[in-house]
Amino acid sequence: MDEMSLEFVLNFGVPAVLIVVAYFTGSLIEQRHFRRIIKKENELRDILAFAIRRVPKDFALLEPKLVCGSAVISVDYFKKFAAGLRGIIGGRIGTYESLFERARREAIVRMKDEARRHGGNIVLNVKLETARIYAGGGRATVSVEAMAYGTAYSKSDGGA
Amino acid sequence: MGVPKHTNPKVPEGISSGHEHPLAEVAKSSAIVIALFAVVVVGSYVAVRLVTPLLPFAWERALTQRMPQAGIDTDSAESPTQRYLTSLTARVAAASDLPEDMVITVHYVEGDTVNAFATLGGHIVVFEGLWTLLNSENAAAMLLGHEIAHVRNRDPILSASGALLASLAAGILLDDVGLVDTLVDMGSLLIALHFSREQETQADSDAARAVIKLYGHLNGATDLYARIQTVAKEVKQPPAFLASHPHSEERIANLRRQASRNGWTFQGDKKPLP
Repeated sequence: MDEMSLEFVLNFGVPAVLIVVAYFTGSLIEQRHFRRIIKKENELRDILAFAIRRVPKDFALLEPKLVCGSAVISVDYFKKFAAGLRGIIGGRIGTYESLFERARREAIVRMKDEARRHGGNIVLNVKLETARIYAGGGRATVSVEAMAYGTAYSKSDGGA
Repeated sequence: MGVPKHTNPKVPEGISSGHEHPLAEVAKSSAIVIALFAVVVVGSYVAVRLVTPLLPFAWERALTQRMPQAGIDTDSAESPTQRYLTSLTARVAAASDLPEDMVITVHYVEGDTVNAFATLGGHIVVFEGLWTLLNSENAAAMLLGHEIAHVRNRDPILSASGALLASLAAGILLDDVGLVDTLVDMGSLLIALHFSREQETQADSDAARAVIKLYGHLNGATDLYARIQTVAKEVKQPPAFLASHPHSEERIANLRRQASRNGWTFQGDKKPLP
């Protein structure tokens, strides 16, 4: 094998294999993660979350407590490749949209989980933060973090 | 006034993501990126072909003057062959209708290589291996006329800019820009550039016109091609000159057609080499 074809294999072959492998592992993990998120969301459906800052006058709320949940999800080689192509031509990066959706929903699920552990059943002033975590060189995003936080209360009447 | 009833309905999936299958997305964007790349490459190639002939010859000359010329010793005492080549080149160049600013420099290089070529900056390299095959001044004039025609038609700079573009495109694809290497290779006079068949045929035809102007006939002009063909049959490795030029039979046939069209004769006295 001459130098040129070796270079070709290194430059195209190795990334191609990584992309294919990452597609299968990434899709499998993503599907399973979404199933888990949906299951947890159903379990936590009775915990209400609102973005409003002030407690409405007709709410009787007790025991305010800061609750938060965060999730860090890794980018995979396939998602990065798809995003790289989008970086040239523009448009929706579907592979990153699902990544951030998982991070956001997982963060809210964990926040609600914490609210329940503290005896809360409603969370007000819910906010979401996202952060990108970079590899050492700072060139490529390796993973994303979503954090959800808010003030948890226990509603005295239970029904609202 | 009753307390408003709050519910937490199940939101349908696929609102914030999943509008398109990831593979479909990648296939679509890859196709667009590849098409864009092809358009850019073809576009730049066409642009280069259009613009390069307009570049002043002096720029081309300046480019080669800055490059180290490995293997070509320009300062050494000139050999008789080099002196003879220089004077013959001057005569052929005068018969070749060169633009005023175009300067031709011929270099005689000792060695077995059976080759001769024109390169950037009006430099022509003739190797000893090819020179010994020449049997008359007419054949030598035809050879020099051919290389001078390449320079006049701006073939070296066209070929060089094409090669530069190709290495640029490969560099982007391979994420490793070997542009500097390509530039150094091209600047070095000992690297032959590749010309198209059309460029070769045109150079032959221009050379024949110059030979007619100098000697009034084409006798001996095609001897070199015939001899190279003979040599090619004797040795296993075909001469480098053959690898970069059309078949000798084809070139001789082309010249005969051109001669009969213009009423040129193949009858006349061959001038011997000194």
